[in-house]
Amino acid sequence: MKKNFLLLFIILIFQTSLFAKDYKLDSIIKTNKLKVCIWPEYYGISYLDPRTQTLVGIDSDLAKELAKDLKVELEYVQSSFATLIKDIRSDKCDIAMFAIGNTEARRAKIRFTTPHLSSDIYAITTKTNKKIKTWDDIDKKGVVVAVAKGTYHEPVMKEKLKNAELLVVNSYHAREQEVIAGRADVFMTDYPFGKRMLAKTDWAKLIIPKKKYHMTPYAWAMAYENDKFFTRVQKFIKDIKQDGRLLKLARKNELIPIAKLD
Amino acid sequence: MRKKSVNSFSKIIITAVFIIFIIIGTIVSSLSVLKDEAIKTHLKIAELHSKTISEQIEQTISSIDLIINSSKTIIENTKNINTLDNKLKSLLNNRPYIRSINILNEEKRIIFSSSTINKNLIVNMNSFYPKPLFNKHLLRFGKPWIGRDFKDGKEIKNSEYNSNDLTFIPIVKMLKIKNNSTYILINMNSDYFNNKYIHILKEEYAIFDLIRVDGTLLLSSNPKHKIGSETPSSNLFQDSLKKKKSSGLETIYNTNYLSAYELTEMYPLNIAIRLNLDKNLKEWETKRENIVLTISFLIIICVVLVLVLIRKNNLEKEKEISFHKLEIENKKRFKVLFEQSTFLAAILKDDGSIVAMNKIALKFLKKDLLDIKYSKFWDLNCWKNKDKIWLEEEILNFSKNSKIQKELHVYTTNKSLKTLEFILTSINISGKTELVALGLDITERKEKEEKIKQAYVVFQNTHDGIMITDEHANIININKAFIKSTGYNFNDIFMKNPRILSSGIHKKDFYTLMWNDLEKNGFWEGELINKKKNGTLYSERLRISCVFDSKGKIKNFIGVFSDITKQKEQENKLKEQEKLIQEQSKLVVMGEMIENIAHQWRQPLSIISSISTSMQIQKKLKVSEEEDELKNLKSINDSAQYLSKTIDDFRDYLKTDKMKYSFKIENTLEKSLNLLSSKLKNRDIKVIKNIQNFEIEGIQNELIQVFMNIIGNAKDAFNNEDQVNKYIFVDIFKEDNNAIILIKDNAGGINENIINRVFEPYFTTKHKSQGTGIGLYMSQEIINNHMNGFISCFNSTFEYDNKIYKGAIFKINIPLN
Repeated sequence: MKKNFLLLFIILIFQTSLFAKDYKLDSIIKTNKLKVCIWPEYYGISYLDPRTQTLVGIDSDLAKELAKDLKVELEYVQSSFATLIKDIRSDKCDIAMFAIGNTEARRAKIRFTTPHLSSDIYAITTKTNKKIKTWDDIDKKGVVVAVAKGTYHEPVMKEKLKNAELLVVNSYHAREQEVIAGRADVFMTDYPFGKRMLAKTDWAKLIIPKKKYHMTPYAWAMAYENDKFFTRVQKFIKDIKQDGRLLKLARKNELIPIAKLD
Repeated sequence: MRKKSVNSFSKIIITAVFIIFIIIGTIVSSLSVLKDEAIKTHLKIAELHSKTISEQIEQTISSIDLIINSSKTIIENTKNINTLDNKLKSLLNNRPYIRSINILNEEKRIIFSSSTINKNLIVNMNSFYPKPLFNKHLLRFGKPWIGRDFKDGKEIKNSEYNSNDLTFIPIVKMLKIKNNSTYILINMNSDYFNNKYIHILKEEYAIFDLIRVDGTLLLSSNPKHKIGSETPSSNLFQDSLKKKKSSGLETIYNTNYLSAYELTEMYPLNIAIRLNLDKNLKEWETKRENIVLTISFLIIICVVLVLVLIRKNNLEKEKEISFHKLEIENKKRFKVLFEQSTFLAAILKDDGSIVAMNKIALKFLKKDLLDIKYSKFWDLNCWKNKDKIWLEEEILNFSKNSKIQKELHVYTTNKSLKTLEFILTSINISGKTELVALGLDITERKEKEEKIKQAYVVFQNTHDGIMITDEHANIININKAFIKSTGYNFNDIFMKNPRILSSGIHKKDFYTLMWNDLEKNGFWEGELINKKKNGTLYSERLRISCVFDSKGKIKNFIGVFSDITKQKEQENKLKEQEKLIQEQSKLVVMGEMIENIAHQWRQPLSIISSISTSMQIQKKLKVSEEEDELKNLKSINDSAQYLSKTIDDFRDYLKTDKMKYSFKIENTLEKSLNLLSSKLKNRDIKVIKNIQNFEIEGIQNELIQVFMNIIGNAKDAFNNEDQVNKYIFVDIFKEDNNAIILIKDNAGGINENIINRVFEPYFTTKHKSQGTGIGLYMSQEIINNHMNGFISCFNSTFEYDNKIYKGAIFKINIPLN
């Protein structure tokens, strides 16, 4: 009898555990709330306008579309590349939607959806910088290259730079400050941010690699094991590629060159 | 030339007007460009102002943010809260842009304030902007309030703002102090900014607006702009929200503004600097108009002056050109005149040596100019000796401005003579006198003159009268024959109409037909009877010819007439003679007929006589039988019938019917032979006929008369010959649509000496008791004139019935149409 009871208990625990691993979509529907992690400083992706306190960017727009498709309310959760993995795994949000570079290190901890964007690495310097004229001028002795901590640029540049000095700073804003202040010559960024810098500042100069440097697919991330939710998001991605919403929002946010429409 | 000049000047004027328009257009266009530049400059100024003010506002707000953070520190570090109000008040020192600093608790009640009268007031923050998404510690901006501070103020609603009111803008930030949510609210002094920027910007020309990004107007240097209310939305405003700044022309509050918007970097504030377009550019527009007017006026003056100068210059040039052209034309003319207009043209020195000579003369002389240049003019081999002497004398003694003219004869290379109208004159070129020798070849003219003279002599001396009229038929010239024929002299008839000669015999229709013919054919010819000056009539044969000018219009009428009065008289005589001949011919015919009748009747009359005599004897002897009597009576009757038929034949022949009709030719011949039958029979003349019977048109009796004359003559010819076989052959046939009649005898022919005269009237070889000599003449008249044919006669030798005969043949040819 005891054995039987123990067996029943084990089965119950196992079933509960199984249920617990695939509860996300039902939970979202049940609570009528989709929590989406965004990084509010990501120009073109999920940028929070400090003046209006509104989010502007392709992923913040697509988050609205996902909530609409799921017929639930949307709640943005502030996150960053530094806290991304923690925020997902701690269930702070259901999905992180801010063009996360699909790197091996991240894949080990979080689950990536099908990419909807793909960007190479670009460099931003000042118009007055005399050292950096072309991409080939970057990896030279005496050149300081700034990257934001936690971004995929950090490991990539660590690996790629042979002569230049790599400066890892804590925030995106900090790397701009380093370059404006002349403490760094360039900072590495991606297409959306680089474009935004050109539009919003009058000092920035974009340095484009002569050939493909390091293409990185951008996707959304979520915790592993939520297959049902993952499948639903994958369907959403397929839908927005097919029904033109991705194209429309890429156009609106001027990101057509990096949109993965197929 | 004048017309060309006017056209040219018109073109210049049109071009000038076009250029004026282009220049004025260019100036207006340039001024428009300058206006655009002025607008751009004004926009740039507005942009600079908006940027500067934006930065200043940003600094002020940053300063307020710092004060808020300082206030937090003060609150956290102040142990005696009763001193807090004063500490807050001390923060206001040197900060004129702040009215008060207020600390509010979670219920938004003011618990500390630099202005203690605000304490315990609860502030409604529903209208504060923006609503934070993540970070709650944001600076948020309320709508403007009327009043000095919260205590005596209120949030502006429904545009209740009065320009005299004091205003302030509440700015709040929520902070966590000692784990309590605390609001630090600073009332920003709006009037401070108004005063500050009114000094920078002239109120009349520029307006400064501070607008919250949700469109609420927080502050304006223009009292008419209702603060606290929504500013009119514009594209520029929306653009500035997307791009941080924007500028351009916009119309708001019913006024055109050059607006520049500039967002602050960190705060939801948009600064608009608006320059009143009309006021700012008014002075510029006035100056522009003045410039346009002045420049246009100057341009027009300049263009008019230039036109006048061009016109003057053109006129001078035209004069020069026309003079030059005239000179060239004169040279050309002289060259043409020199080379072509005369036979001889030569330029000589005063000593007679040749300087130049035209090609025609050189060709005539068969010389080159080089051969004769500088040789003496009179030594040319074309002159006669006496002319050489004359030329030498005249040339050497030639006096200036005189002119010598004479007809000279020159030898051609084949030694024939040409006549020259020689002229020697002089020309003065640049003070140098040269002689000009001109020779006009008048050989042809002379020949023509000679011909005209000859023609005139003919005209005057011809036997035909000639009169020449003008186009109106007024006589302008007549010749001697005219005077002789009509009796009129030149003065009698000059410019008179030829109707002066009219005899009145011809009717009006005659002259109408004459003029119609003249108009239609250009000539008229006919006979008419005119009246001489002495009233006697004369006949003339007149031919009038029209003379046309080069346009085909009648210029003259020339009438040439022959006086045919005598000819007419002769003709009349001939007609009378002919009539006489015809009468004689008729009498002859009658005589012949009577003779024929006598011949014809002799036999039947002797039969009748014999039978009747025989019957009388038989009656007397009483031996007559009834059967014999009847037989005899029948014979008498047959003879009487024969006599009657003979009379009918003669009567038919003697009919004077002159109507033409168709008749059978064989029948005609038979009638002729019947009339002659008794005579032919008496002489044993056999008529051998070969007749192709057909119809012929004419007067049958006339043809019978011809047959009788010819056959009668043949019969008479046999009288002279004592021969056994007497034949008359008659062949009639058609040939080429002609009736051919051949009458041939074997009487030996006609004497060749007289054969050509047989058709002459009164020519006969017979005794005058037998022939009159008019038979064949009449036959010829009938055939030739009445039947349009012809008759000929010749001798012929022929074979008939294996015997050779000779005789005369008369051949008659009558056209059948």
